[in-house]
Amino acid sequence: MINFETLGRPVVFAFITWRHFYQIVYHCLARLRVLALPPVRNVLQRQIYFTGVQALGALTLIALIAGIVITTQITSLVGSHSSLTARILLWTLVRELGPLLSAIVVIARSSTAMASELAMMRIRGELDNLRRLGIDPLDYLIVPRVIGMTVSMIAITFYFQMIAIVAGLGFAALVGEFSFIQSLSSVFDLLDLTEVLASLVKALVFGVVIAGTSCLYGLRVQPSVTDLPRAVTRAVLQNIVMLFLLDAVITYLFFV
Amino acid sequence: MAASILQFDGVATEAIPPFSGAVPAGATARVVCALHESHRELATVLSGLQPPRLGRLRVFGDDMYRLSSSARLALFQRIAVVPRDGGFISNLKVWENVALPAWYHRAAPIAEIEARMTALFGELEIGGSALRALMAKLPDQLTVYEQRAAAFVRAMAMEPDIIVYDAVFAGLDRQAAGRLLRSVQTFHGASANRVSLLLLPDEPFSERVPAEVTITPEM
Repeated sequence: MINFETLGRPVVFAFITWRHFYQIVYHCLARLRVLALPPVRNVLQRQIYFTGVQALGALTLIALIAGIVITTQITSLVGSHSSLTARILLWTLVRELGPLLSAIVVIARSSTAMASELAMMRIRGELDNLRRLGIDPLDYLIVPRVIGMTVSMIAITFYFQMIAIVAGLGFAALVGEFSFIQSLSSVFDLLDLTEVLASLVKALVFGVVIAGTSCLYGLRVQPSVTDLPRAVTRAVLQNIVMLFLLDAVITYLFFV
Repeated sequence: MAASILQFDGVATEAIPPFSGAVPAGATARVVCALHESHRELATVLSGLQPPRLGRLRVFGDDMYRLSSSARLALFQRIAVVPRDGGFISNLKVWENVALPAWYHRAAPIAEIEARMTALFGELEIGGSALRALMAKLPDQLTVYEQRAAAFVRAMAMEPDIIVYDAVFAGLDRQAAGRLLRSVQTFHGASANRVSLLLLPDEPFSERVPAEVTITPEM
């Protein structure tokens, strides 16, 4: 027999989560003007520095390896056919792996940090401390974090794609009969607006979703330290599931 | 008689039976609670975080808890609270914590705010290298006196109409408490209509705090 209570609870929970997520994103869009306030801009700059600039080391390494691995696989399949190699590289890195791997790096570094920092602030009563100062915690803590992470996400996705393509083609030219310049120019010739737009939309959506979800799980932690690791784990898991789901949806909308 | 700036109309919390009282413009009020729970609940009500179980808290003529949440938040640009633990943001250094409300609400140049902060710390006899070291600390590294002093300067930098002190003398030695009390009195006298409300535990030092109005909610 179907237990409606067991079935219903996750549905209700998912609905509430979605509603809270929507409220956070709506608040960020409606209150963009708070970014003009110097202390909020300060938080925004820190977020961009942490999510964007400090991630560059790990991201560069992953991009180099991903570019080399993918180009090696492609050349082992198609040989030294520079135009075809460039096309497959473009499909793989610009359409899919660039945004996905960049988002995974952001989840691993910044999503966990953001969720745990906000959860800790909530547990320590610091959101109330801000209210006592006449400061809306959503304006001061959430708006700059969501915007900062989204901007960083777009920038690092672009950076990842460039490094991976250059590294892949550079490696192929180094070990095979391949012209680096010719392959690179093939990549730019094949790159059209749809590819760039799809990649940009993915980075934008991933940035908003990762930041919004991390803030949501951080803010709704129970006032107990034992709930903190659970909140962070939930945020990471939810982000990864949403990442792949949204990737599939956006790919379908752009390329099918 | 001057109009009441702060008025308790039959206010009750879980631990406190209904009580009333009014604080006129320019007055210093002493609110003495014997029980820790009463003290905590009243501080929460006065901080705009939790409405009283019964009654109304009128501030500048309006029922604080009938205001919309954004209007209530805006009210705290005119009301400053000095919590006993400082009420800091743990990932900001002390100077950022102290400057935050003035920087946020007034958008004044940070150099101007820092100059004001330095002058205010000077009144608390904290200056020079001690001040530089204090400003560079994180809130968790502060002593009790430093916490209170920093929270006090943060409140003063906002030039509020009402300032609520939540057990700011508790846990301090007599010398430090006396120094802080002198600063409280100096700051109160700096504006003719400013209301200072001191939430105090029932202990001997509380008797030394001069006030025009005394409220004992638990009686």
